[in-house]
Amino acid sequence: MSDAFVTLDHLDKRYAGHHAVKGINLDIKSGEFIALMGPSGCGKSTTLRLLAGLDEPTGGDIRIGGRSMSGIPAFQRDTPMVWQSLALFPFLSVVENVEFPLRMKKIGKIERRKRAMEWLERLGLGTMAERGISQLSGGQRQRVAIARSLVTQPSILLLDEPLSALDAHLRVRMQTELSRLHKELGITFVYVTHAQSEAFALADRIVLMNDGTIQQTGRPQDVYREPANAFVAEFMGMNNIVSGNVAGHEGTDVRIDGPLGRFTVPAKSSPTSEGKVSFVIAADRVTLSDAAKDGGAANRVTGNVIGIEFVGSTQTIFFDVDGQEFRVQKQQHEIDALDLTPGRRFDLNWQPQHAWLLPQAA
Amino acid sequence: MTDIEASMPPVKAPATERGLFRARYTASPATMPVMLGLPVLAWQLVFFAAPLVFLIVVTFWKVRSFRLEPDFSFDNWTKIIFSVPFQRALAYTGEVAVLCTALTLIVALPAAYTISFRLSQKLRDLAITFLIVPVFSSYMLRIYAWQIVLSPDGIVNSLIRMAGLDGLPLLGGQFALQVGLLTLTLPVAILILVLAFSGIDRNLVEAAENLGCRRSKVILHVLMPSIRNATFLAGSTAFLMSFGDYISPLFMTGSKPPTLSILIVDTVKSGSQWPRASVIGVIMLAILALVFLLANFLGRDRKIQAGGK
Repeated sequence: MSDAFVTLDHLDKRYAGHHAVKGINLDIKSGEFIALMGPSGCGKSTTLRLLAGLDEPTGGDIRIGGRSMSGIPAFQRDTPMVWQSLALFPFLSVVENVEFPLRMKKIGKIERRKRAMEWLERLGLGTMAERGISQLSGGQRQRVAIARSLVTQPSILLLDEPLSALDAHLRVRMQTELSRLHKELGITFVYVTHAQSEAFALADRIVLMNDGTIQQTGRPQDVYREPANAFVAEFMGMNNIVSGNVAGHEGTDVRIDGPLGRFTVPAKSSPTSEGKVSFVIAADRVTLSDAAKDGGAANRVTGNVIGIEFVGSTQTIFFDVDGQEFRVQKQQHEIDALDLTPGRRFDLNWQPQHAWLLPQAA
Repeated sequence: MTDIEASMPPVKAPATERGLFRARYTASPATMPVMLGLPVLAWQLVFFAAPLVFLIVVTFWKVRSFRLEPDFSFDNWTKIIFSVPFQRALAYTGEVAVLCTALTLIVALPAAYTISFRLSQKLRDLAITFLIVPVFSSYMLRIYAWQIVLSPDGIVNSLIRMAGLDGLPLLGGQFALQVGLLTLTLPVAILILVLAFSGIDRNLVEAAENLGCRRSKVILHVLMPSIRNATFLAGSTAFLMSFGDYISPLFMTGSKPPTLSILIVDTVKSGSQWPRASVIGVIMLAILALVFLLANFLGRDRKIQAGGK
């Protein structure tokens, strides 16, 4: 609590007929790059709007720099935001757009032009200053929006899916630029996105939301490999979820009996689990072998090929395992030798240490 | 052509016939726009350009014993331009139109803002309906209605007298004239501005607040600049409508003092002076064209022009 720069304290927001944010708690450290993630309608954008004061919370409080934001209108908050639609003023030139927040602060003409030009040059837009917004490319507009938000030297920057309108190539370049800016400025970035790739590339910590509640917070790779529940496991990647009952403990492992068979899973997350439990096995951790040959490896299910999906050089093979769908991810060269005609039977194996026991059963 | 194709049985059509159709289609891309544009062009030529040219030509003709005779004389132009009644009417009409434009904008801007931003969806639709209906109803009828309201024995004066005061001479002055003209201009101007306000990205308003703009100043810093062009359009439309209007001056002020439209009718009536009436008409058109060009110039988006080379 002590070193938290932003604190969400039982933050709650109800709209007519819709409970968007359900009393969430979150501490954000100064200088942290936080990604708020989740499916659409999960409350991430509402949380950002509450931070900026564009909506009033219906419960709880927001503290920024130790000061309660309750009752402070948006224009007094100094929580600039980069919008998905960018929201640049079409009736102002590039430099006038960047000057806008300074003009609102009644900073003199010469001073604000100087500071705006510094930012434009820093983002490589020095020669575009007098142009109209409509004459810029998508990436240039993005930069103007960022310059406009940072020109007042805020201590926090809010970003609402800022890159989702850009093409893939530009998105990666802007990610690099944002990352660089964050390092240079050392201020807090709160970044809303539904794209895992952006969150992974940028964030120190991700906050995964669903249905108005926080599901898990942590470093991206930790959340990816050690999801807290089935929702996180599903959202974060190609994971297969298997359920069963605890049949016994073996050292730090737990033995699980389920409809798909008997499995051994390390019990790092909940060493004393009993009763019904679930574990996940990432799709890229599964190996395939011919069903006919193999004997009784411990962590193994048998399934029929349903179909294959190609994404670049990576392929996802879908299996039917006793009515449950299993996904296996492989590189093209790894499966060249296999005959994956639909209906063919395969054994799906994995190392016990690659399975992750969910703290909450699915 | 599409009709023929649609009525053709899709499968049984002989291949040669289909090929023929295709050949005719592929030849058309260049000629198609011309063919489609032709009716519009013809319409404009017959009903706009030709009368206009004729109007200008007539200004150089002469009237002898109530009959038009082709001629080429600047007599009509000098007579009209140096006549005091014309000069007075021109000044008066300009004054009326400028005042009407100003009043229209003063009323229409807050009204359009309220309709677009302060009303619920339901009330907004209702308000827009009430704006559209008068545009399609007879202007004449609405002016008659005003006469009933404003006449010496009309509704307003009856109410005033019931309150024990003297009746007011409401009809027959600048006030009545402006009421009549605003009846014409306001619905159109408000509609133009409501459309412009509705077209503003609501994110811009939030972005302005997010960047430190007080809510009360959003109108000044975001909304007004956003509808700049529409404001010029609404203003020039109001000027155009009030400058050329004939009905309000006739019925609300009894043609006193005369506006240019009234003067045209008077000129024709007194001695069939079609050529002189045409001179006034051409001058009016020239003024309107100038006003529109000026509004266009002022409303031009400089941001796009600046680096658009």
